[in-house]
Amino acid sequence: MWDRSKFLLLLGAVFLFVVAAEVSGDPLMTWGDAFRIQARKSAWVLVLLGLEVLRQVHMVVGERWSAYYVFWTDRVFARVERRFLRIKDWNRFRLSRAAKWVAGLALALFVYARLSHTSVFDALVNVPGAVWDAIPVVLQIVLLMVLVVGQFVVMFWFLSKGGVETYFPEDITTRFADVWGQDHVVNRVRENVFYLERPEEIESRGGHVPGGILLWGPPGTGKTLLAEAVAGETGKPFVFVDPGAFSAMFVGVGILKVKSLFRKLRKLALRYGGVIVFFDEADTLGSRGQLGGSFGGGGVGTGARSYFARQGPLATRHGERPIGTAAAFGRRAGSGDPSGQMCNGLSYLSAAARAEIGREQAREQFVVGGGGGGGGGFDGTLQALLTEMSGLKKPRGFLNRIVRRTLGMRPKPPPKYRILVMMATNMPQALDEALLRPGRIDRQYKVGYPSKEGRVRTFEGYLAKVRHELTGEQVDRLAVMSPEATGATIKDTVNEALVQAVKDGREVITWQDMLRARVIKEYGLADDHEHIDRERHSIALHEACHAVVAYRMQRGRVIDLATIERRGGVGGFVAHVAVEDRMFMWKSEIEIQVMVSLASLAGERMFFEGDNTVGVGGDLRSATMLVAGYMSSAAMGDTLASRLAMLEQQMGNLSLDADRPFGEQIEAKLRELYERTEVVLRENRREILALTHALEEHKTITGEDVEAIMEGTDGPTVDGRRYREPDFLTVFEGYHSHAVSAHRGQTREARPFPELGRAAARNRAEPDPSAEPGRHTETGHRGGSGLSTESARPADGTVGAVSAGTRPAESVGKRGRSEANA
Amino acid sequence: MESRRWTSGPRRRSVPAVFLLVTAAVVLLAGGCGSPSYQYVTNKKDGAYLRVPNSWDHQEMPGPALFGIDARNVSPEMLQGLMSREWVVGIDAGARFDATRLLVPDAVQPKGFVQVRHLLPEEANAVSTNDLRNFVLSVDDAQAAQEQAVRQDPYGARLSPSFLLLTDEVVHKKAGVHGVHLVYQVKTDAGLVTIDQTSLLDSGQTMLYQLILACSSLCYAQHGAQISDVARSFTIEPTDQDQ
Repeated sequence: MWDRSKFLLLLGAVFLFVVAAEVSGDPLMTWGDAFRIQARKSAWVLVLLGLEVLRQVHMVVGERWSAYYVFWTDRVFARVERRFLRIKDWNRFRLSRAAKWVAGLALALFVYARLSHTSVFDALVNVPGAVWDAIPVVLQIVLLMVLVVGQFVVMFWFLSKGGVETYFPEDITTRFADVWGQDHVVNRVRENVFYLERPEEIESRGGHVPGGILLWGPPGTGKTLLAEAVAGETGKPFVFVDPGAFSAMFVGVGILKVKSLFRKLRKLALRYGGVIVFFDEADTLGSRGQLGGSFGGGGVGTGARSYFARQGPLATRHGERPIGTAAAFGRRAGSGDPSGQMCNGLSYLSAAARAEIGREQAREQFVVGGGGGGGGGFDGTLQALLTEMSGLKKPRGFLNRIVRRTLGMRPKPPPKYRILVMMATNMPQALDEALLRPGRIDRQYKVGYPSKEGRVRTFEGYLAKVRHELTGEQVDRLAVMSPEATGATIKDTVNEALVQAVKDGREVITWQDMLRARVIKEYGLADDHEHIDRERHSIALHEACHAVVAYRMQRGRVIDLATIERRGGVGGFVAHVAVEDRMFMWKSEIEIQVMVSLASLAGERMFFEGDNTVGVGGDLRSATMLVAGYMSSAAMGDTLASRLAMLEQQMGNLSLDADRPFGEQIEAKLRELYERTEVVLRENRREILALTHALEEHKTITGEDVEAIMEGTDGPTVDGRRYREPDFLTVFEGYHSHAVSAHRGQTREARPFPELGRAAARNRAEPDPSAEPGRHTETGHRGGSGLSTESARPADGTVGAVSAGTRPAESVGKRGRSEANA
Repeated sequence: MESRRWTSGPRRRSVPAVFLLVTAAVVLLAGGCGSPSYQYVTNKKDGAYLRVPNSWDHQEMPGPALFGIDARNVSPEMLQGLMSREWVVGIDAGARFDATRLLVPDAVQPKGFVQVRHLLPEEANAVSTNDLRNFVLSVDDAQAAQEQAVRQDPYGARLSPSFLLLTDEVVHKKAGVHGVHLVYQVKTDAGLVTIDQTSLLDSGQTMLYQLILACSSLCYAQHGAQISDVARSFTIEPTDQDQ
């Protein structure tokens, strides 16, 4: 309807207007006369009106009468239309646009003429004069608007500055050679920079220059250093964007900043043929405002999470683990769960085993916490960034855009901006999925922990700056022992070692300083806390059981540290490092992990006549979770079906083996592993007692000491040969049985801790057959020495009174520290 | 689907509406074919309006204010000022408009002019309502002469008077516009002429509005009604632009 009548209405309105203009102001004029006068004076309006009426009638008839329609379309207008179609689209568009302009201007002029009671030609001549007369008024209005709008413009202009620094090649001296241990990432980044600098290499073959790189990985692994090296190596300007640049006080300033940043980038890209922009800590701007709130680091961007979950094992190890372990520990510590009173966290488990437990716990937690997301600060900054990174590219420049278009010329196509966007983050799961799609961030590189060569080089680099007496072998060993060391932590460790040396009044760093520094840096400083004697003994025994089973059974991982010193909420722990970087665990290895967990329970029961502390609760939890998890997903038990998959698909509580409930199968498996653990412990009674003694005496011993005790060799802190002396077992079994009777409450008499030095000194004259190295190397891991089957004997006279329970027993917490793996 | 949408409901409603519009447009077109009943002589700037029968003709006369002025002494600005001070439109009911014969005594069709004049300060000070009567010819003198003639020759002078005042009324219009309306018959060599004169001043006595129509007495006998109609339509709406 509107399409049919719009021209009729327009022409009618114009005519009515001119008639009204005729009547207005003339007291004698009648509407009828005005109408008739204008019908002569403005006859063309009526002519057009008549033509339009005719056209509409023609249309209406054409719609109802096909023969009529065909006649007009095919016979009459066809030729005209063909000719018209022969004009190019663009020219046709220009012609029609010009015609519309002319018609519009003519109409405006006509109205103006009637208003000023002059002829159209006079009006045309008068127009410049009228415009000139109007200029002061127009200027006044414009000035007013400039003042009102201008203050906002100026304010936001100032607000939108800052946070962005531009470096030119000569400003930065860092090179790719300075990035150690990240060779494959460096190579890939170098490739990107190469294409940015020589785009013709790829563009001439029909490709395009990759536009975005995401560097993600744990903190301190050199992402920013890598970016700095890019800035140093490239011949293009390098724009560094502050993490906080886009968080502004006012909504909308972030958007302005993004826009002004990209305007700057385009300018630089055109002037220098390319530009690199680096967003550090990109998670601050890459999320849709979900994560900053109540979740803290524990939340997970839903979209990005699924993306990184697809990335397979990388995601399991990076994306999941922090959530798992941190969240799980936080939860248990907060809820006061009694099973949380465990000795050593999960530090004796391998990374994958811990990840599995963490995942279980994270799963529980997301049900509870998952609803709390959303409602974050949405201010469009991310969206502006997304649009700028791959939005419509509008033609550039005022002359090009406005003037050429006004003149009816086709605007020049926008130039090709070569902008390489680099982002770095340690929370890739917080980034928006849209940001990571190809075309924006084409390539994601994990900047993981440096390779061993890189770590050796980093250690050497930082050690070269100080005086030390470490051999190449020791440095190599340090690198092996610190698989998750980064440039930052290595620098820190070397510095700590120097502090330790200076504290002792030395100028030169020794191997001992390095080890001490590592313990402080890896596991923190011990609290100034003394366990009461009885508890000290039970904790030491507990840890010794873990250590012995781990030492005898584990492959590919070595004990890093065993301690019974309290650190924060942790009573004691045995820590391990992996010496090889592996992706998958075997079923047998999982079983060993479970056995290491169960060692504490088996040991406590063995040595305390069937009694055990609640400190084993955490170990049992880990063991149960591991068994349940791998039984339901990796055929660790008797069945093959993946119970996990069925639960995930909500297929109900299907019983795989109707005769044996799942819980019973878990229990049976745990029981089986428990019995195997008992065998190992029984075979290593002497080693357990030796380790217990060493732990009680030294509180903290290194992995090398553990090895020395187990093998009867000389270690850095402890001389393991002394524990091979025949009277050790007699003395210490006596001490232990006294502790057991004290535990049962049969005796309140305190007994002093047996000083081994005295026992050893007494027997020093006698040759020690067990100190022969050859004998102990052939014992192997699994076999054990089998020396420790003697029963407890009464204590001899070397022991004195032991002060009983001078302090209330404090609950032994557990520790949430991630242990080294690779 | 597409076609049904266009052929059903909305179309049935739209067709009568279009017809209504088309009909309106046709009526509009047809109405435009007739002639207006009057011609309108307007000076919106000074607020003078006049309506003459459609068969009459009128034309704006350039430069009446320049009579008797040596054009060589006039600068362009002065010329502009003089031109804007006086507006005169000639009116001719004859077949052809003839600007040179607007005040001829033997016109067989009504002729005349309408005039708006911005008075000079000295003119404004000097002018009085009484003076308005004597702008075309000295009416009072002619009246006195006629009375004199009647006294000398009561019958002859009455039978063929040289001057006969037919209407003499004082006019008061809105916004303080005031003046006189006179209709009189004058004997000339070419015969009897009837003149319809309306002379008005605005309230500030700075503007003079004048409408003079004249034709032979025979013509007046025929067209008197039309002339009176035109004189009655003479409307002044002062625009206050000089105050």
